[in-house]
Amino acid sequence: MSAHRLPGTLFGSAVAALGVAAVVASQQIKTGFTYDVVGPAMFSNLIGVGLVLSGIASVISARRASLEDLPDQPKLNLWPVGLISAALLLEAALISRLGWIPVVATVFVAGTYAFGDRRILSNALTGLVLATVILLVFTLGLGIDLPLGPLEPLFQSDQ
Amino acid sequence: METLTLLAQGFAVALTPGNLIWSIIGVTLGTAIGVLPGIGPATTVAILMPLTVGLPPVSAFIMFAGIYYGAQYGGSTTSILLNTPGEAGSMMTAVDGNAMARRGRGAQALATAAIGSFVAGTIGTIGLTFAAPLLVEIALKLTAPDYFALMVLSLATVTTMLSNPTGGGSIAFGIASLFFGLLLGTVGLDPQTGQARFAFGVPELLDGIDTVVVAVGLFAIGETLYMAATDGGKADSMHKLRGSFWMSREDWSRSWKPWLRGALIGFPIGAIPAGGSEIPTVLSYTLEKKLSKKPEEFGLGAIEGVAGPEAANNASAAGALSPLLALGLPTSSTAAVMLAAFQQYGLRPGPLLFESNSSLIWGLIASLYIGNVFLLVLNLPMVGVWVRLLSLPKPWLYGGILVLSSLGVYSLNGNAVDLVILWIIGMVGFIMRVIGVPIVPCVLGLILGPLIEQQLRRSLAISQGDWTVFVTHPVSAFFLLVALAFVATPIISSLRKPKPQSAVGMTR
Repeated sequence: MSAHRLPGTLFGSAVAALGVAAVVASQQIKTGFTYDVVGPAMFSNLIGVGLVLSGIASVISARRASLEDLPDQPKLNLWPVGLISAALLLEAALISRLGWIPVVATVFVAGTYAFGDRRILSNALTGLVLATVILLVFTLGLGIDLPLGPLEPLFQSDQ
Repeated sequence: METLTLLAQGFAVALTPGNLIWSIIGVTLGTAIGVLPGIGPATTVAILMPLTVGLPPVSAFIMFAGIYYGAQYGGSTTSILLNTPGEAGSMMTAVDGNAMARRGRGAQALATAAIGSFVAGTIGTIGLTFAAPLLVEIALKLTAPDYFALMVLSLATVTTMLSNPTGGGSIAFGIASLFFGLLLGTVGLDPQTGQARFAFGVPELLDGIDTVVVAVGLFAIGETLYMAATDGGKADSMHKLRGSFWMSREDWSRSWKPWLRGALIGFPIGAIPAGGSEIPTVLSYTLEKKLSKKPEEFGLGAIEGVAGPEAANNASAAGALSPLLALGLPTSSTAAVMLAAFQQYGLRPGPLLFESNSSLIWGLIASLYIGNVFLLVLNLPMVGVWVRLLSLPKPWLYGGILVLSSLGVYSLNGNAVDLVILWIIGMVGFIMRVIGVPIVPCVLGLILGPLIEQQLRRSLAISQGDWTVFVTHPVSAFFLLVALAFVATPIISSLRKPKPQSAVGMTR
């Protein structure tokens, strides 16, 4: 198989597998409600079948397509994707404990680094300012609470 | 003339000083975020949604209307000066708009885009004013099976229109994307029986996956990851504005007809489920090229090639609001995110909302007229401010997009699980982008899935489990037949011809 056809084939197989998983998981959904003729599992089963069929169709069309119809695969540089992913997951893990400002500043630094900007310190400063401004606008201006982390007592003593 | 009375009441709501300020804030933020490269109108609306949380619904939707129109205006500036259209609707603008900018006529391209957007936006809003009540009349006659079939039809048309027949995977990819969206839509408690589906014991999943999380994940995070993986920090070349900022007499005389024609093409096509603003902008561009006395200028900076598509783009944005407000049926990804905004307020667009909350609906429509005027002011004399936003260095821009996305998603419910889902969806969006799978069907599937399921089960409850109910109702049978034709035609023709011809569709 040509390398050009590989992405479409992999994608189709993954979609079909997801469909099978959806049908299997749908068996766990409780059914048999008298007021609901078809029950909550019917639609998810339908979707599972749809995923399987469209996955198979994707594989077939990827294998049938002539090579010049397939777009050139751009060269992918995966370390920036890994770096941004790590920053986003770190953010999810620590946002309640450390608060909005430090984790968001970290995300900003990771994003700039992934795009080739190596000035970590000055970007960290920019990120901190950006995060602080957003926090102030949201908490003071709009009344939406973003997590403060260790800064919490500071704000409470103000009120 | 009942419509005009209602519209007058709408203006009374929208013209209160408080709501005027929200409208101004909406159009300004919409333009500011919409102008950022790589962020289309759908992402703009999604990211800015949490800003309205503390507001009463009427003010919130007036602000949304501003964001919605502002994002459309902002996108054209990016296409013209940077040649990086944020969404399919501004791709045609980018062709000649950027060529004009290269030849030092960027200011004129921006002006014809802004004035054309104003003219077409206003015509489109007038169309919306009169079409929406008519659609409501029709909507009241539709039964549950008809609604089900209508939504299936709209998903079928959008999916086939947006699938790139040359991309190798074509329709199959689009349908897979659609079903993935439908699957995401079933996560959480089944609203009819209270049974959990696909929640895997995670309490945060019981409420379902938010449309905002999916839209921001697929569009903003997916795009950021893709840009990071492909061209990293390579700087865009921006064309400085120089020379006269005014449109010459010739510019005006070459622009006004394309504006009007663009508006007439854009509004009706925006109102039907045809995949948003892509088809009308391509049609308008082709038409202007055909009608032009100098077709050879197209591609090299013909002002008609900016005026027409940009007008069509904005009129179709107004058109998309008609089925959204009257039927609760989104026909573009931006409209889908707007529908999510309504749902956030516990409001369900449709005929009933016109009855029960007419001041909100008409206030929103009136604010569209007002927002258009503000946008003209924001985009003509103040265009320099937005141009400056474009010169943000790429690392800062995408770093900022990551921050804004986190903000938009986290402030929805204040839980960190949404950030994990955001990352997962972002990775899915990145992979889809790499392979060339269209993203819009997924977003529409997510938002329409629960509605389709509800109508499906309602129909089957009425028919006591008899599936023939969908073909015995003439309206529903007709819609389903058309839907089938849309999906089957390209598949059959691709089976006949081993090498499909290239067509207008673009994968975005």
